[in-house]
Amino acid sequence: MDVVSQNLANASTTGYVSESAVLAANPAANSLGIGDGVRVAQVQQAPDGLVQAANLQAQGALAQGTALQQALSGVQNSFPEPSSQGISQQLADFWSSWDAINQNPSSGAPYAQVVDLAQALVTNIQQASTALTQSEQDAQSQLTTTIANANSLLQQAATLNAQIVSVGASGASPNSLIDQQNAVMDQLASDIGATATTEADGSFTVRVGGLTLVQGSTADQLAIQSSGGTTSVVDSTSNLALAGLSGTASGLVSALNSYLPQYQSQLDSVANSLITSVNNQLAAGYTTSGGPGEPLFTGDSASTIAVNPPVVSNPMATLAVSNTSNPTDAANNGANAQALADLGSSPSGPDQAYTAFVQNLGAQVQAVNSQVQAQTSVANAAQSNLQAVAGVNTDQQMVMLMNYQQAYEASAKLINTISSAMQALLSAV
Amino acid sequence: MTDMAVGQLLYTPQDISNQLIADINTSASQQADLEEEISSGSTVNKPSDNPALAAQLLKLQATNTRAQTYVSNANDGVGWLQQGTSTVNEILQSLQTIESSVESASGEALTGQAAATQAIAAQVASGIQQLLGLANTTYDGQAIFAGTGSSAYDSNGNYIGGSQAPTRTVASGVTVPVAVIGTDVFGPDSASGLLYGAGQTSGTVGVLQQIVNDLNSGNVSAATTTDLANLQTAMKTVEAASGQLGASYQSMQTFSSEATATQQAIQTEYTNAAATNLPQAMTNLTAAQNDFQSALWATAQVSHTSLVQFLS
Repeated sequence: MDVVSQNLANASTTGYVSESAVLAANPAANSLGIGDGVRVAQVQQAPDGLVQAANLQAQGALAQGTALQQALSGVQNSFPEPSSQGISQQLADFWSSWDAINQNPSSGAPYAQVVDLAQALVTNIQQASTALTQSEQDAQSQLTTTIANANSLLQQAATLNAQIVSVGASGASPNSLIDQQNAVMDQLASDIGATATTEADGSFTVRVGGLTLVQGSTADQLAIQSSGGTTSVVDSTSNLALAGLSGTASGLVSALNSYLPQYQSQLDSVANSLITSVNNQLAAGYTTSGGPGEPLFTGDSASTIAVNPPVVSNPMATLAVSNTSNPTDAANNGANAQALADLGSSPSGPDQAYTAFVQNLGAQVQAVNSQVQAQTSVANAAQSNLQAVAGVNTDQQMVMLMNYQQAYEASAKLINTISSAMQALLSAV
Repeated sequence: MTDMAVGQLLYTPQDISNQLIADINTSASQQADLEEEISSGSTVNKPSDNPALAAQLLKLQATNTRAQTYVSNANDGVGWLQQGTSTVNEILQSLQTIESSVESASGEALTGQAAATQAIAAQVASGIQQLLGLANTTYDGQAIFAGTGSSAYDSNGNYIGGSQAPTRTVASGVTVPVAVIGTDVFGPDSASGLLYGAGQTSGTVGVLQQIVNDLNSGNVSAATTTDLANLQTAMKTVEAASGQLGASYQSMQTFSSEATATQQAIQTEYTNAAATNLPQAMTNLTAAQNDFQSALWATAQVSHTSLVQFLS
């Protein structure tokens, strides 16, 4: 009945494994061979090796997908497309503004509009680039926290191992320590995708991939290494990389190593394509007074793109909108501006690069979303299996409670009967 | 009796709760997606909603903006050509007036009315000034006969504009001129030009000034034969320019209505591609709401159905 009470009280405790009392008949002490009653031989935990391992693995994979999903969704939110405020629409407006110059090359207003739109575009591209950098920094700091947490959990696991071995050796039940160890493993699984095997002495051996992190009472510590733009998690004790890393840490590492740098480089090529195509076309033209113009953009990437200051201060005198240097023909000539407006439709222009980038980002977020959805089902199923074996079923516990209660009542009845028999015998004497 | 738990799969309340919570979350996220779709009116609110369609929408959006520019370019072109056509027609009328005045000079000369021929000369001279004014007509602040230059004619009737006609892009890859340059209307800066040497009484001058000079010097026969023939030749050039502008005006109007139709078609395509199928979304939302309520109801039952309730 103590065991039932323990089970019921821990029905919702993380890592708790349902226990059952193993009862054994006391050996006979008399010549007739009639046993000497019952004793609680052992309080046994429900067996769970395989399902528990499967569950840890599923939780690790889910945490990995979720971490990546969070990082990528954050990036996607910095690119509000399709919308009327996104970079795509700004590019389209920017190209159209060149046609406005062609409609009236000798009026100042369309030039000012081109510069305003160029500045808005540059600001947006820079903000997107900053948002990507911010996402990288966030992922980096989250990884640091996760690894620090994992290190303290590994230490705890080693300490619990030592306690389990010493309690087991003293003959007492280490079950509650094993439950705590299970809770630690749950967290380690979702942090770094660790799995555990139970040794003969009851201690847990914690591994990630094939690398042993905790054995007995010694725990290795993890560290983050960054070299050449690649981040990896290593076992700082043995200095080996964690090849089989899973869980949150793995999701963050892949965001840092492949996804975020890829987005940054795609955005850089959008910016670069914008800068080169516009500046090259401008270099082919002349100002309305027939002289050479200034480039509109400076820089070569999403973070360095800017509008050339001389153009901002005097766009009409610096933008090469004419296609000829002959002053009489250049005065009201917007032919080069017309050519600039057509760059937006170019199959190799920045618009195409940006659309491809958005599609790629969307496809990857979508893939991660459905991956997380699938992993959630797997993790839920694994959790269910584990609960079915190791969980506390209150109905079952109530039935067992009734059984024990009836056995208790029966024993009491027996004592009562023996007592009446004795009294009858004594009064008869 | 105590071994009944071993090796047997059982559903625990914890397990059931977990499953129900997962179900509730799924229904809730479905509902949120559908609500966003209905309230925004668009099926694609994030690139990940449908990456291929999102890319298509971005392209349509850019094409739409470009098409709007084509409409604006074509309308601007229509304005230019309308102004050009009506100005050239005014020029023709002025020239016809001058032509008939010069023709009448031969009659005046017969009667020996020198003052009358001088009056005709003055009339032609003022006609030249009127034509110079027309030659410098502007549209939207730009001289329409100056090509890509800033102004067309100086006060002496010399062409000072550019040699290219301004153009407008009215469709992808289609660039059309919206004006003719001054020398295509008034002829070259030489004796065969209409306005050349305006106001100059000697030297090589254009057709009209030659008429004035000949009338003033009493050389009426030259004015009414050679000069008149030159004028009629020059008028053919103006008529040709008028015809060219008229044709351009017609085609520009066609381009304008085509550009408008294209832009509207793209707009419609965009709307159709992105628009939420409202009845379907509403039905799905109702279904998702029902699922959600069922999941909530089932969750509410969890704590009720336990053997504990039946033991007292």
